[in-house]
Amino acid sequence: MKRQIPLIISFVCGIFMLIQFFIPHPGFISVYRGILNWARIIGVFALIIGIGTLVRLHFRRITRRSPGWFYSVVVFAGLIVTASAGIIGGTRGKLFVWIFQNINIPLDATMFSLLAFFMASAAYRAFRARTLDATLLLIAAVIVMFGRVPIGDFLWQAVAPQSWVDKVPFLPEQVAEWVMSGPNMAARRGIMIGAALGAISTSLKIILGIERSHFASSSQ
Amino acid sequence: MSLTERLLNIDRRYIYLVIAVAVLVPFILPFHMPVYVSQPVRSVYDFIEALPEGSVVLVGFNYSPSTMPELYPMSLAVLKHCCSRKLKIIGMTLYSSAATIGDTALKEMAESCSYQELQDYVYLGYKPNFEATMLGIGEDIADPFPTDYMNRPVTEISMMKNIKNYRDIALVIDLGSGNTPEAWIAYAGSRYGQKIASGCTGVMVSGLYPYLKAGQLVGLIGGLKGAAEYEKLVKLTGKATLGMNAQSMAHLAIIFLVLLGNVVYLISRHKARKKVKV
Amino acid sequence: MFNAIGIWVAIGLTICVYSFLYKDNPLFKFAEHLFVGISAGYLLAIAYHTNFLPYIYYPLKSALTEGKYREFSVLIPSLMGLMLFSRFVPRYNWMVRWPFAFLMGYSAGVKIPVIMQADIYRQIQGTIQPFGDKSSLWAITNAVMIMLGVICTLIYFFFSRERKGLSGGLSEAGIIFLMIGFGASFGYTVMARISLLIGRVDFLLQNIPFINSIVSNGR
Repeated sequence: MKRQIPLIISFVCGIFMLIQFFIPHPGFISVYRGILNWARIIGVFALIIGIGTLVRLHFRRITRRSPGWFYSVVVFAGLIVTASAGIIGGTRGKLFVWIFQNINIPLDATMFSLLAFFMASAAYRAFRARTLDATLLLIAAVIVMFGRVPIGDFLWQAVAPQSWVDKVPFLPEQVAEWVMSGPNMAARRGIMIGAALGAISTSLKIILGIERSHFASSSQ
Repeated sequence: MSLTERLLNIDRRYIYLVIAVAVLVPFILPFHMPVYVSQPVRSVYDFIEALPEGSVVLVGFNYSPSTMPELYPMSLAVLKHCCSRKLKIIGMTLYSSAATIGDTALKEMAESCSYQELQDYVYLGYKPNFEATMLGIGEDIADPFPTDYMNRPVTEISMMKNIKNYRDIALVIDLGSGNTPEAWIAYAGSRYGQKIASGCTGVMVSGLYPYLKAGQLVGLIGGLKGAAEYEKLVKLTGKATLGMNAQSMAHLAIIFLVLLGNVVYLISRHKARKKVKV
Repeated sequence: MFNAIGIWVAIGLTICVYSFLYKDNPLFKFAEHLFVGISAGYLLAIAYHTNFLPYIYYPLKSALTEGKYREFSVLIPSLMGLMLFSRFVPRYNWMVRWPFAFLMGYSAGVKIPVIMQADIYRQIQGTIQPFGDKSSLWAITNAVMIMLGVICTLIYFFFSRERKGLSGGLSEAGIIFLMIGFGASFGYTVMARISLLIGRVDFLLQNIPFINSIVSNGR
């Protein structure tokens, strides 16, 4: 029962969802809508499960007085205050929106903006024209960086001979667009088709019960 | 230690300083540079421009606060265009962390162009499991969204009376920072023939070009530059336009750093080879 | 007053996070943990109002008070959802497989036809179609290059055969396309990350009183 029933559920749901795509019968559509509703409801619980893991981790850190346990208290304080403000005051509650605007947004946005510095440092240290491949990568990156901001066209119009500028006033932008819609798009399309073939074969394996790695975490 | 060695092992904090200065200076000493509008951005604008008054657009605010500097100005520019064309707007999100962002953007738009909630626009809030939600809208929008953001039944909202599924929606505009555009294309585009436009972060642009060129997207607004282009089209001087100077200087700074890094690397390699020969 | 405090809190937290650029420190750790806690609390509140109430509570309420017994059906997926929590109880953690099986099975089935259409059929069509359009020599040259690029990239990812002769050469050409593609992605990634920094710098400059006046004059 522990092994067979999940495989049967996967098979039945998968085959049904596959077949209904080709059969727009009202009966099929009604079951299809039912399955989608169920998937969304289970999704609600899946969303909360991450919080369960977080609470367990930080609760352990506090009870064991692990190094830095005080920060776990901060996690709980943030969680309890925000959740209470939202659940009691509603999604448009003054305190809830205030916390989002003045704590959540600055923290999240600033954390990610740190990447600008790290990326610049990495570009200086690692972006080297060691081989032909690396040189191509570097040239494409420079073309896009230069062509996709207004200063590219601005410098071109300021520096290039007037007859050239009259012919192609936005050359850097146009070259960048060619890189994007030419070689870049070809490579991306190749990757996309390959990945799609992979996704289809994995999906078939899941439906047929050959791929079972998603059950692995509960196997012990 | 020679200059090349010093430059090769430079403290990362000097590089941080270069970037900080490149971004800061244009804010203090601003200058004007014209923004060129690219075809993918113009296509989105033209499509919305051609929609008849009263058409319905579904706007997905699918980004977290981390990418707000890129996507919030874009959201405001697109919303401004929709309300200037007197389109009906349905807002929603598939990112739990974006629920308040969508609400705030719609409110900001409503204040600037006197739109009334529930009559001219509706905000449906957040729903999980995006493939089930996208497919659900194709059958009946009240399936995934039985209520709006404030838990008012969708079937009782006046604006939603004649809107049942994708057949009643002229355009889906996904403003996203993850894989929602691909999901809209697969589940709403392929299955229900829905027209889709994407406004995305810079990181996602190159991956979406195959869809754009295959006609699966009506247009693409990419990153802060795309947002600045859209602001230009709707005649709005927003955060994206103001940020273009800093963006330009920072790009130049990074190009300079990359070139410097390569020059130093080549010199040090040349020196090393010379030493080996000796 | 409430808003003014908010702005100062936001400025303070922004500086706490930026202090990491100098080195890791307790202020950054505090900000980091506060962010985790607040994000989780925010998620909980949003999930309660926009998911739990409309999907589970209201249907059950109408089943009990208005006699709409069909609405009791939400109990089945809710039960399956609750089974996800069995992963915290080692003895019963096998129960987690049922909802997983449902989600994976339905998702796999629904994916196959749409991916086939969106990512394979339409992409092949998009590669071939430009040849049929009445267009210039430049456009046809581009179409040939794109087709070659797609084929070479696919060959590069075909690992089942040794790369020798023609397939070896084509896969080498595939690398060239891939490198240009990754370079272009990097260029755009730079744009994206810098934009995020611009957003924060703009916020600080607009809201710190003394600096605010300098920037306003500049504008």
